[in-house]
Amino acid sequence: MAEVSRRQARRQAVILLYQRDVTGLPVPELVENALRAGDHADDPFTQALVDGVEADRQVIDQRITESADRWTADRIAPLERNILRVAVHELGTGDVPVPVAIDEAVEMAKKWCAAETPKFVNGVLGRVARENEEAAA
Amino acid sequence: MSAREELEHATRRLEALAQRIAEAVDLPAAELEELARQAADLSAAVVEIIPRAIAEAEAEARGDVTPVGDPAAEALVPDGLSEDEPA
Repeated sequence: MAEVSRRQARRQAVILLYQRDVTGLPVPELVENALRAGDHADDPFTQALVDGVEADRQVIDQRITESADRWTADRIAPLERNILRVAVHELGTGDVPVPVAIDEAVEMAKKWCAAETPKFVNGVLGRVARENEEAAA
Repeated sequence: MSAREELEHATRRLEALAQRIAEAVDLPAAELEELARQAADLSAAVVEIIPRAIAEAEAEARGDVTPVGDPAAEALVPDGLSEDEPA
């Protein structure tokens, strides 16, 4: 298996979750499809992110809804929603420093989404991170 | 059409199909099967378009390509000539 950076793995996880969200196809089928296309969808970090989001999706979406002013997770565009889901999951695991998890999500939003999205992503994740800190205190 | 426009179009069609399938309580089985087949084809197309749309956005963010339909870019090439051809 080829070496994949964490950034590439996150990118692949968001793509898989986005595909799953829009089409409803099962993750294993999407992974097979991505592997056929030459993507490293079987990377362990990618799979951990996808599995983590899939397992806790309801809780993650609830956190997003609570932290997004006037927006519910189901009304956020699917690409933005899945960038947020991966980051909220990472913030919850504590495996990655908080600024890294937020910065990675904001960078994806800058590259992939509308101009106002990075600020929105930063705001939502900042609130989630603060709530995590308060809960841990 | 850019990959992102393709994706937007395909996603809208997929959502509309899903809605029709969800509401198709009294539809004959053959028609329902046809809707399901169309949805499966469209899902496969969306799965294929998503990575392309993301790669396209990344290329634009790096400044490798100019967004489709950018009038400023079109103005760079004189009528009837490409940059590879001698004037």
